[in-house]
Parts: sequence; C-alpha cells; structure tokens
Amino acid sequence: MPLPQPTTPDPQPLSSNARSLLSLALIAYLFGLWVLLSCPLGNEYMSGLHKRLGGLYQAVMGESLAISVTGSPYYIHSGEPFSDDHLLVIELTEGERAGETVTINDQFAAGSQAQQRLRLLAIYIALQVRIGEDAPPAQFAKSLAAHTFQETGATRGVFRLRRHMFQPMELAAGAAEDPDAASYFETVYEADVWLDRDGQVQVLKRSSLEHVAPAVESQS
Amino acid sequence: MIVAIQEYFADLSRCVTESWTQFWFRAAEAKTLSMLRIGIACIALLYVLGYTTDLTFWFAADGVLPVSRVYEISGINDPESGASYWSLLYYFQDPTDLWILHAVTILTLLAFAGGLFSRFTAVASFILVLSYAQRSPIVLTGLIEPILCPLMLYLCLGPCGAHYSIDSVWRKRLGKPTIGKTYAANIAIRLMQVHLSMFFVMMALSKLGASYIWWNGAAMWNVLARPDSPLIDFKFLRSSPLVVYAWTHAIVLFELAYPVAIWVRPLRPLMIAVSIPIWILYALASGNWLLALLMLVMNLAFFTPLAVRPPGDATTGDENAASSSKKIPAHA
Repeated sequence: MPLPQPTTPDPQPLSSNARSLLSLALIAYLFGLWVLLSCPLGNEYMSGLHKRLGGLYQAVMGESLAISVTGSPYYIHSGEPFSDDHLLVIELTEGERAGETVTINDQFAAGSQAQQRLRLLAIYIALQVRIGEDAPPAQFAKSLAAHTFQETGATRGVFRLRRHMFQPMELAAGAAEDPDAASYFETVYEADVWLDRDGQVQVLKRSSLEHVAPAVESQS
Repeated sequence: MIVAIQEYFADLSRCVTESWTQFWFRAAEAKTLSMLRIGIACIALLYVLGYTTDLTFWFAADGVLPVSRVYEISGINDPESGASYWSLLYYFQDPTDLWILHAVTILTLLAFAGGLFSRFTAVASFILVLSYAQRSPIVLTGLIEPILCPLMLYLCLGPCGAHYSIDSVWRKRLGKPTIGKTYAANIAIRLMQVHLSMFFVMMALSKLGASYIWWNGAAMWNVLARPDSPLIDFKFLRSSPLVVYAWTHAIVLFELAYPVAIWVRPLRPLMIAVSIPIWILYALASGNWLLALLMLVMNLAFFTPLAVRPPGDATTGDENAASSSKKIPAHA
C-alpha cells in the first residue's frame, strides 16, 4: 500500500504582536474597500466625509489596484436613456463603397467582449454628448472614421451615434412591432467626417455647424 | 449598574476579539484556494483572450484609444486630478509589441491555471491582467474588472499552487511534503469571501437606489428587451409580465440575501444552488456572460473539498455516517 504523502507541519500560533499588526492592516483595507465599493451610488448619495474618504482611497487603492467601481455602476439598467443600447454608425458618402452604411458594433462577433467594449464606448460618448462636451465625441468620431475609411477605402461619410431604444412591454396602438423600426432609433450625435488633402480625418459636428470640433489630434 | 455596564463591554470586547481571531487567524488548508486559482485563472484567460480580436483596434498608436487620449480622459497627467492608474500597456503601442505582450500574458495565465511556478505566475498574472483592466479606465471598464483584479491579488497572498497543480506533482516527485495548513491560505480565502459579500450588498443597494424600475419590477424588461445586448431573445415574455416582475424581484432578493445567507452553513448549499440559474439567466439576458461566469466560480470561495478517505480504509456503517457528517463545507 503506498504511503500517504507527508505534509508540512502546522504553523506555530501567531504572536499577539503579529496578529495586532495584521488586524490593523486588515481593518484599514476592509474599511477602504467598503468606501470604494459604496462610491458608485453617486454624489447625491455621499456625505462630505464619504466623498473625502472616497477620494483618499480612490488614489491609494481604487485606481492603482482597479478595485474602484466608479466608472461602472452595478446596475444593469438604471431606466435612464444612457442604459439603452447605442450604435456607432458611419454612412459612407464618397469612395469605393459610397452609399453603404457601416455599423461599427457589428465588426465583432455578437456577444463577444469586443462588441461589449464598443457598446461601452458608445455609452461613454453618449454621456459626453448629453453633458454638453464636444471634444471627446469629436475625437472618437475621428478615430472611428479613420479606421472605417482605412477598411473600406471611403473618403467621406457621416458619423452617427444612435440610441437603439427597446420596445415597451405593452406596445401602444400604432407602435411598430419591429424592434429595428426607425421609430426606435434616436440620433444622439451626428458629424460629417472626411479625409483632407493631407490624408487626415476632419470632423464637423452637424447639429451646430458654426461650432467646429477641436482638432486635438489627427488620424491618417 | 456601572459594574454591569463594565462587564457588558468586557464581554463584548472578549467576544469580538475571539471571533475576529478565529475568523482571520486560523491556519487552513489551501485546497479551496487552489481550486479558486484554476477557476479565476480560467476567467482571466477568457478576459484576456477576448482582446485578441480588438487589441490593436483599441490600443495601437493609431487605434481608437491611444495612450494620450486615455491620459486625457482619466486625468493621469493632470496634477489636479492626481489619478494613479497605471498599466504595462501604456508602454506598448506598436502592434508587434502589443501582440508579443498579449502572447506572454496568455502563456502566463495558462501556466498559472495549471499551477506552474504558482508563486511567480500568480504575481505576474495579476500585474498583466491589471494592465489590461487599467489600459482604458472609465471608457472600457465594465463590472468584471473591479472584481477580477482584487481576486487575482488575493490569490497572490496565499499558497494557491499547493494542490491540483504542476507544482504539487513536481513536489511529490521530488519527495517533498505537501503544503499543509497555513495562515496565508485562510486570510486569502477570507478576503475573497468578504469582498464578494460587500460586492453583492452594493449590487443590491445600487439597483434599489438607481431607479424605481428595480422596485416596480420593470427593470428586467429594460434589460432583456434591449435590441443588441441579450444573448437570447426573451421578448416572448411580453405576454407574461408577471414572470418579468418576478425575475426582477428575484435578482434583487438574491443579491440582498446572498451576502448574509452564504455565511449560514445550512443555507449555503441553497444559495449556491439558487445562484446557478440566477447567473445563467443574467448572462443570457444582459449579455454580460463573463461576469456571470466569474460569480458562479466564486461560489467555490465558500466551499471546502470533501475529505478524501484513504483507499482500502474499511469502515462500518456508523463510521460512514460519522464521516459523512464531516463532509459539510467548512469556513463557518
């Protein structure tokens, strides 16, 4: 009969000092962890003390160890428009595939993490648009257009961020039964994108043509 | 009266100290930790493999999220913001370099899952997975990163390669003793359990605080009726609104109950059993399958492998009954 493999002996009991030091470290860590995990409820749910502690632990633990949930709330759907699906779309108007509409979200397999990431990006851009920030949407429109132009050989198009609303549980009389009907789409952001003579992508937001998006960086 | 108050606080202090010591400073076997190593490493591997299709799309110098833009969004270079995000991927922007790092990460995680040089690969895996998670904070961070990264950190604290690993086979061949009970294994498991419980509490509170839709039962319809996210079309439930309401309430109730009931030994198997359909349905309806998979794996943190009887050990019926009573999961 094979002999059972020997095991290392049980450790000596921890000294009182070691236990005290470890306890202090554990209490500090667990307290910070709770502060960080409870921050994403939003500013209106936080006292001044909570905010200060959150800021402190965010810098010490939250950001360096990726513990913080600040950028990604726990709820799946909050009932707000930004919780809906958003699509990144480029309608090609010049070039080899003019007239074609490219949905960037569909470039990756359905249900893949890559597609989920694109959805997160679309929601981030939508949030920026809704709070009135022009620069981030323009920058991302530029990058996504550069990528699409490279893939398709197009030179001009219209970039759109579209909110794809879900059908209500009880369809109202006359409401479209097709969940992909035009009435379920809302254009959140729209901009003309084109390649200039230097091969750089330029962006011009459509809804306010007098307001040219800042060209922080260029993509060739 | 004063004496009674003094006695009360003395008893309270003694009771808390003893419970705390028993909870955190008890040497434990590393079998549970080793099982978690395999599970968490596999999830981390899936997470990193998920970047294979879009690695350069995001992270190349001419990608959608070049480092300069991430710095700007997250405020890394802004002294006022003082953001302390860091990632190895900030230094890899050339596509070839990115692919090399990606391959190294996959190989490291494979070694870690198999338990090869576990102490080293645990730390290396944590740093590499953290680098992916932190490459684009705020924009691309979902709910998987804030739970996966700390769990990988806790694995670094204990001897997670002590069992079910290439290291343990190697040790056996060399005639070295198996790693027995350690304090580090217990602390690592306890940190995972406590972290997971806190996460559940906040998931439930956040839902209830976010909107009335988690109170009136409509939330799951909002989730499953989204046109592009779900993995399966559940819209046939339109004709059964009560099922949708029940589903919403069941998720909130489960998330409220889990962090309490999982610590009560008789309720633990029930909570683990309930969590299986809850998380599978959550994955199918929300499309967030990796988080659901991780949460299912994390049930292992509350599970201790059954004692294995040595072969040839003849026992009577009474001894069988006695031994089966010992097979109740521990960590209570």
